[in-house]
Amino acid sequence: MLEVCGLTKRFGSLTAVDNLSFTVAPGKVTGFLGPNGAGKTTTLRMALGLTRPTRGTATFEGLAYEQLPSPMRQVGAALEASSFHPGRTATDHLAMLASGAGIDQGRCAQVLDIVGLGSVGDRRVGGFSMGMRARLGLAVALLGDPKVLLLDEPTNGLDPEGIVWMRDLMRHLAGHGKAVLVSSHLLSEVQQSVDDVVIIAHGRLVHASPLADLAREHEQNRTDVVAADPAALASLAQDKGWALADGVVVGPSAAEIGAAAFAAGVELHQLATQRGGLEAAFLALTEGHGDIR
Amino acid sequence: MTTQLASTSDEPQAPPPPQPSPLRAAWQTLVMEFRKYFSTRMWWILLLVTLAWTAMNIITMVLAVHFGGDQAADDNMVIPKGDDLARLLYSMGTTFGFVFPAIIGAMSVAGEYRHQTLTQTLLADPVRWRVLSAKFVSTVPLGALYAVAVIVGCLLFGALPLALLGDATALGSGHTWQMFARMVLAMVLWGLVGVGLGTLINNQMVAIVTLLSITMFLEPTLRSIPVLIGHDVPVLAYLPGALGDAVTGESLYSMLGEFGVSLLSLGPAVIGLLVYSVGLTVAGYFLRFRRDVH
Ligand SMILES: Nc1ncnc2c1ncn2[C@@H]1O[C@H](COP(=O)(O)OP(=O)(O)OP(=O)(O)O)[C@@H](O)[C@H]1O
Ligand SMILES: [Mg+2]
Repeated sequence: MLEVCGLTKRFGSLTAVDNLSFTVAPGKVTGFLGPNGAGKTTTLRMALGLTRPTRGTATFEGLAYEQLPSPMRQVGAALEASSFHPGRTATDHLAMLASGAGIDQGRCAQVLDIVGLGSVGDRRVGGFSMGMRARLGLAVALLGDPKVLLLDEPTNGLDPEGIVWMRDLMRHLAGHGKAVLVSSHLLSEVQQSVDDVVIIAHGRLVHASPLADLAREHEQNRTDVVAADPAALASLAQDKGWALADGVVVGPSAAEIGAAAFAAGVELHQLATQRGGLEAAFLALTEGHGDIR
Repeated sequence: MTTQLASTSDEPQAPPPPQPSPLRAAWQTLVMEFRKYFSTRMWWILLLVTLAWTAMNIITMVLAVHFGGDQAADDNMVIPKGDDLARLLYSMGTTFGFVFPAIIGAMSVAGEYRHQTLTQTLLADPVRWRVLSAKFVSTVPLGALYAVAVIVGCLLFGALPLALLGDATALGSGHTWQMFARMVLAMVLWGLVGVGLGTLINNQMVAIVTLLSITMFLEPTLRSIPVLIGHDVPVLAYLPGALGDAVTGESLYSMLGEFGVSLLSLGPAVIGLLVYSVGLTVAGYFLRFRRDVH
């Protein structure tokens, strides 16, 4: 389990991560969401001891990454755009890290098979495509068979088949009791694989809940309605008990509104269902924070 | 794919892995650094370059001294004879060859910044002083390896041609083999100085250029001062190149006779180069290596 507590990082005058707190529970996939520049990668780098927090802590079962008895066997991480020495083969890269982390060398071939690079293990990474590098980065994360996985935009560079496979892999890992944190700037990308969501914008937490709760909060219909006589529309809404604000009716479907307006003789000039669903909820939550600083 | 996925463990309640002993942890990191050295082509490319470079220099000097030794005698130079000459020629292997272990040492740290591999290194071992210490220690055998290349170059392209030309090879003298041993020591120490340089200057190219300009330009200029002003300047013996020459025990500068810079003896010279290497590494640790890794 990962616990992030009051984590803050300043780069000069920019506060990249601002008093962020959340937890990642075992047996679940947690989506770590936010627009570009929201502070996702910075948060993960702080959790892994690569970047020193200005304030706050990130702990795994109460211990900071550098205090873990055997870090790679407890926490696996694949950060965005993992870098490799171009002249080293995939197998040698893993073998080297396995030595440093006290992991059995036999595991290298196993993880290469898991990520689908079994046949290219003795090729130099310099010749790897972006997707192959993403897979090798994932192999590094899985090397120690850790209980906690931190994956930073793991589907970057993967083909559609790879994305589906990645989704299945994350579900599989959570199914076996692992705590999986997966970052993305698109909710729709991870929607099918996450249980919980942690949404940040401008380094601040804007929402944390099970995905189902987020969906329930935003499952109501939202319809833009423009009537020739706004007062008539307002009284109709009042009669029917609809919530109407700023020309948006929340609750009934467009068909219900249209039928009721027709029956009541209210002339409508526009009747449009807003883009619904989770992506809209996500956009609404991070709205106004979207500008990259 | 499902069967392959099954190889991830099934026990969420598995106890955390045991803490390895401090010695075990240090050994693991050391092995990681060794694997890093030997899993790219750089180590053997530099080894071949060291051999070729030594061969070229030594054979040129052997021929120059054999066929042109008399002309040089007009100058202030004191050209030794017999075994002493042979040893002087061999010692040039490290006079030129020291840069190669220094380069590989610098690359072991600066290369991690260049290829951004430091992130994963620190995921495997997040204890930074241990990682840097492992880089320091793992460079020792590399330095020795390059020294072997230099010595092989000396034998094949120095001793062999000398023997063929009928000149003294000095191979029968224990003093010569002692000097070879000191050359190994010098090369190892230069490797460590390289680690320090790469830790302080994280740009690989800048680190190497700095090394070359200090040792090949600045220092020779400074060391010519005593010749120009006509008396010794003792502090020059503490320059890194002078320390390296002192560890080897022979040097081109000894040809300058009484005008040459006086060198330290072996013990102080070894300590001097160690101070450079440890000093640079420790400074680099506090100024660079402990910083955020992006
Ligand atoms: N080393 C650094 N120096 C200065 N500013 C930085 C540094 N690293 C990140 N930042 C800034 O911190 C903010 C957060 O960056 P971060 O990379 O964490 O965002 P992110 O959520 O991962 O974005 P993306 O979705 O694009 O990957 C950005 O404004 C970025 O410019
Ligand atoms: Mg990022």
